[in-house]
Amino acid sequence: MSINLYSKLKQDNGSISYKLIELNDDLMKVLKDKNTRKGLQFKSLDNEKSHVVLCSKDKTWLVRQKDHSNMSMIMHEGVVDDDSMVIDPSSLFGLPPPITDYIGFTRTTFEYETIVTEGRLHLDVIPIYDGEQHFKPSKDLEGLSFEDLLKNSPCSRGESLAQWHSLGGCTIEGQVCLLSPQFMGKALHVTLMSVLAESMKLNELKLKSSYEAVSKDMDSGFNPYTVEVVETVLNKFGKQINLPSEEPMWELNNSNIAKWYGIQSLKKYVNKSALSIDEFMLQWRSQFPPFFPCDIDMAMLRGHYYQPQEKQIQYFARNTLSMDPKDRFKTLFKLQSSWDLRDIEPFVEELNVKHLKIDSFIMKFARRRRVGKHYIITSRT
Amino acid sequence: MPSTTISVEQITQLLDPEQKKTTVPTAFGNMILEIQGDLDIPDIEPTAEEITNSNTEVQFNTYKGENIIRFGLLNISEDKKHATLYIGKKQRLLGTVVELETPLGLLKFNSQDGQVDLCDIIQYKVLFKDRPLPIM
Repeated sequence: MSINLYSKLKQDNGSISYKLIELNDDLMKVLKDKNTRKGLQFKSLDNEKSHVVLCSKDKTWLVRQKDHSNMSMIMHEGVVDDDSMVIDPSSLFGLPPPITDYIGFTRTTFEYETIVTEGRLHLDVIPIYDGEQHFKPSKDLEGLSFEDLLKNSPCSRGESLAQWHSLGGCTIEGQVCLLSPQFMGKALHVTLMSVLAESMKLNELKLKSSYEAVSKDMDSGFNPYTVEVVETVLNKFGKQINLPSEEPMWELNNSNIAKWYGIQSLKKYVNKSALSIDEFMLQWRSQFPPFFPCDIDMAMLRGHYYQPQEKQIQYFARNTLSMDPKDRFKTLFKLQSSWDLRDIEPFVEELNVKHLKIDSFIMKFARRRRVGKHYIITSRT
Repeated sequence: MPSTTISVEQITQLLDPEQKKTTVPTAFGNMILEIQGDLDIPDIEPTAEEITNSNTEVQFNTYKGENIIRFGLLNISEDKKHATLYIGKKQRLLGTVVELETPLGLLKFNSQDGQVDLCDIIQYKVLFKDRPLPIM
């Protein structure tokens, strides 16, 4: 098959330009699905400095320009206007005459690479709500809705919603905000007490009835536990189940709730001094509303405490640790000279950016020995 | 925040599972020709005198009203694995038809109305990665 090759003289076509983008397996899946293919969107925080991301309904890819030293000409089949043009037979080198013409319409020396990444909500400007009666965010944020926030975030809708729910995002008087941890704790407690008092099933909670249960116990004055706050609690600690033709229901995740109470107990009882595990477990258990059904285990709180002495625990805020692996391991071994692999893992896993096996990653900075069925991690020095 | 929705209207028929597998040119007649280095192709419109004086090696023409230049002849073997590109009368390049590990989407950006269209999905390219050989 012989083809005549042409190139446009003027490749720069005013307002039109062509680029190539890698369509990895995930993106091909999105494109092949009729329900998702229309939601693809390029987003960036601003026009100049920030990265561009490509978002589907529930995934985000970082878009990077991958230069190469070759020249790629993108060509299109067409019929040239003057088909009487004579091709010198000596230019055919004994090949049969060309059967078609291809015209190069653009040339490029790069492709856009698409790397899956975690989309992040742009929360810099979002105010914190602590249950106050007169909530007044700054004027430039007035009326900011979740849709505005989504538009302003390099993040897919699915990831945005998941993060929004997990962070306790709420709308108070038409204004998006995050519930403060203290207020979230109170709202959770009040909601649980109210729905348990009404003998409602924790895996079949409806928003309207849950809110009515909460309101029943309130005085006639200001009630900070609005329907939006109750919905935020249900979204943070539960999963919405949508049944066709029925009102949405939430199934509470009891172990998530137990973990929340556990972390609050760590902050309250063992923030500045250690306590024995048995005593702490008693304190933790006492925090739950009466008749709340759940099992508790210290394993739930891994990554939030250390053991300065055997059988003693103390709270530790992970976000105060250095982002340098060497410094982080040094600090951790200062706090506790030897760690169970399962206990140290949550403190260091975010640094494993190359996604190595976690014990291989830890062994780059520490020593590992096997004791029975478990691995003990100690300092190299 | 700047954001643009990518229109995929043009490629819906390509995504039909019944669609036959294409080879070098796509169903929409697009193809990528990749060459190590660059092609020295004029980028200015030729004057009438230049067109008159142009010899057979440099042939100007028009396509949909735009000036184009013929720069070569491509031959793809019957098994669709090998390709030869003849440039002018003196050079030829030996190449291969390569199936891309990751398919490439062809995006069309219109800076006037901000529209972005995904207009094709390209699975193959014709790759010339060796130095040109002389034509004897």
